[in-house]
Amino acid sequence: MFQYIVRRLLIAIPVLFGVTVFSFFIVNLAPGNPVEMFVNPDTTQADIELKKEALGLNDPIYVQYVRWLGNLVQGDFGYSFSTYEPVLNMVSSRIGPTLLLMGTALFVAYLIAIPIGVLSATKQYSWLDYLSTSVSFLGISIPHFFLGLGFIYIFAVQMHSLPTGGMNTLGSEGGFSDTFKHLIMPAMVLAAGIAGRMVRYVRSSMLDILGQDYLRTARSKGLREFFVINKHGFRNALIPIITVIGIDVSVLIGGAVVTEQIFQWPGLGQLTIQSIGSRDYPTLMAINFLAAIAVLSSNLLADIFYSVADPRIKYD
Amino acid sequence: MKRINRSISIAAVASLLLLAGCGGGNTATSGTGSTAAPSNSGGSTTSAAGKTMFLGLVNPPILFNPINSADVASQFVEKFMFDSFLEMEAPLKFVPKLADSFETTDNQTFTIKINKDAKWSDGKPVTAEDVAFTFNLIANPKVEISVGSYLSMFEGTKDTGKLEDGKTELPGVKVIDEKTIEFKTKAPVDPNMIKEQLGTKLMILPKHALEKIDPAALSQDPFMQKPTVTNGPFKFVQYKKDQYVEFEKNPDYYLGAPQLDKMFIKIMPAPNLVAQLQTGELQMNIGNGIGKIPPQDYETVKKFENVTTKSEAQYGFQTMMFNTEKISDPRVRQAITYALDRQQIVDKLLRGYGEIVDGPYTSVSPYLDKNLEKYSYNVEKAKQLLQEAGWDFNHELNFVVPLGNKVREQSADILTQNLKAIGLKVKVSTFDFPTIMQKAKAGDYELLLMGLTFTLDPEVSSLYSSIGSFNFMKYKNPKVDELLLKGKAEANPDKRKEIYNELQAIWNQDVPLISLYSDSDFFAYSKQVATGEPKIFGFHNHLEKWSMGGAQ
Repeated sequence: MFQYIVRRLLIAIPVLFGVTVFSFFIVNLAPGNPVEMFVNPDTTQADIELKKEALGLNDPIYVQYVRWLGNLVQGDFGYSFSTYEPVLNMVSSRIGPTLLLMGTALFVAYLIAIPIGVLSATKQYSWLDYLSTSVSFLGISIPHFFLGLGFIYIFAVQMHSLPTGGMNTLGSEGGFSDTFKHLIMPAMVLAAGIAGRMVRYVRSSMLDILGQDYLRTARSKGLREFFVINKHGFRNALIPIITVIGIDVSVLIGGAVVTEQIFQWPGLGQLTIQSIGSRDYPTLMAINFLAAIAVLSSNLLADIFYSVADPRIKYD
Repeated sequence: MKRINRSISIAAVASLLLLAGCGGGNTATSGTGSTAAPSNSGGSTTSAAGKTMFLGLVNPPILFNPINSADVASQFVEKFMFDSFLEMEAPLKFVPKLADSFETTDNQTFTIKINKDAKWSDGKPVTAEDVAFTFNLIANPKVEISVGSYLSMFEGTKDTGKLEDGKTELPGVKVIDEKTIEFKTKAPVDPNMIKEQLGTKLMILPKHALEKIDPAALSQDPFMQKPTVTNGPFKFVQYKKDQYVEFEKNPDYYLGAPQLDKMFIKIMPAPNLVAQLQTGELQMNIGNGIGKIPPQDYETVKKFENVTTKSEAQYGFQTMMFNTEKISDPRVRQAITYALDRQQIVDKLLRGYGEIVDGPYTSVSPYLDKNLEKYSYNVEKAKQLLQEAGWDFNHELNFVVPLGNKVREQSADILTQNLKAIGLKVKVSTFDFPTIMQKAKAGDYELLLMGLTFTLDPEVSSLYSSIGSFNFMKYKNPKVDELLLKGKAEANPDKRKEIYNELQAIWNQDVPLISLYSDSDFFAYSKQVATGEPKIFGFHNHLEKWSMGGAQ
């Protein structure tokens, strides 16, 4: 197992390298450049040329890449082409809010979805099953912006019980309960979609297992139905669920663009959109790099959890 | 990359549309309780009531480097903490601010006297040395800036506004005494032009805080993200990216300590401005093209009982540019202009809150020639001109539309219909802004929509001069080049007006671009505000007097 993890980590290095090469060139291929879009009538052509030179944009693209990589190896992500702030500061200030929002959303979603999915499968074709499948279908299909704006209208504009957006009440002390209030609406919007999908995965995965012979065996040896379902059944249904969780977690780090924008949540998604809009290459590269690491590590974690859930799966 | 970006934009636009719908639904119920002072939800204002104000902005400011901020939002926010020499209260009406006086006797040598009480937030006085330091920084060939045109008429600079390589001091700038500075231009100029650019837009930097920094590294200095030494009514506390800028009062402000303790500028999508004005989480929207209430929501906001609303004409305008190299016959450009039903855009999309202008000057500009014949909507005339010009009706026009301004995107639909109505074939494509700039520069378009905002001064060489940095039309008319130079160098306002009238007549014939409309700005401000209101001219004048009325 240990060897397996080390091997996977070693393989990750060339993969990451490939990701950086690929994304660096893609990012630079996008039409337009970070300097020329910031022209206004007060800016002269000389101002623009000076900036291009200072940002190193006049060098051939492979020179720019090698310079970027060289800095990265030393732990330097460079500074933003639009705000002139160190990229590391910009990105790291966004990670906290992103993890808080996405973590809460995932946690709430799984907490609701997994029991409902299991129940829905064991009581197939009951009213509960019909209700949960149709509600989860609604959760999947409602677009985030629609649900988000609906929530704002109901809870903020009409009921005055939740703030319309942001992460803290400005001018107040803030604190946990304040952030929590701000967190409720965006987290619920995101959780609706995640939970909707999860209910369906859990349900179908459980249905597969419920027909298996070993469950009949478990019942015939007199095991209580509760253990039949939750110990023998659910554990075996976990494999496909872990796959889905692995994907969800890797998407987590990218942030949720639309939801963040509607609720002015200062996460990575907002930063990504702005960086694309201003062709802020160093910031985009740092975000890409981070996302690549998140995908690789969540895949690895999922693989490890497979063998935890099912001891028949062994890596060596 | 482009596709991702576009689909996100589509989602964003869709969300805006939806909130617009929500906004409409609010009106019926807005009287029931939504107008009350915020309860625990937006509770921010209740505890600190009377001493804190929240302003709403849409475009996030990027950085706070007064000499290197190219975006309007950054420049606007900087003016809460950095004072300009003058303020413009109404078109070309200048009043003193950081400068007690800003004068010239010969239109070539200018003298600025700085307010004797003015000091930086660390207690050091604001001096002529600071002014000279800032001027020299802007002209320094090593310093990254975005305001180079301010100094392009200074003695000793090249046309680019920069000094020769290796030089760091402007020869025409003289420190007379601690509070007096003098500078000289290459030739006599209209003092209003200097007063508008250097007087109302330039903000000076503290020499004592920045002189030790290598000029080439100045733009990366943390000061430019978090200014610690400022001279305005408010001091910078923090900028939470995409959320808010927080200011606290500068108790030692030379025009008097501000009435407010804190000022927050909150950043949010335009439809959220409407919701937060209604809930009382905002006291006003900033307007000025960077914090505007969407036109379709303005009627809704007008019905809120807790805010006062107004609309004001402004000097930014939207254009359709013609690539004059590809559409070289002016008759075709005239024909297209006749074909455009611009009144429909103003009526339908702007709900009547806008005006139609043909050239680069709107009705607030003293230089607009009101006697010039305007292009009307005339389909017959358009068809006739196309026939005369022998236009190939099988040719498909490449019509390029930037994303990011919803009204402009919608206007493209109307314009396309108009063009098809006279038998033209049109292919519309939309792109994000960096892509648009690349296409515009490369001339990779035939028709292009673009919004422009110049100063009130009529100097528009960057747009129409054959070497102008905004001349995406590839427009070349030697007579225009000559007149533009003459206009810039003429110091007498009356003679200048004649020159610019002549130019407007030429542009009216050549039509390198046609202005489509100038949309009014919408402002809403809470009835809790006792003193202060958002406006186009002189927004930042006397911020120290702004106050909240408390109970409401």
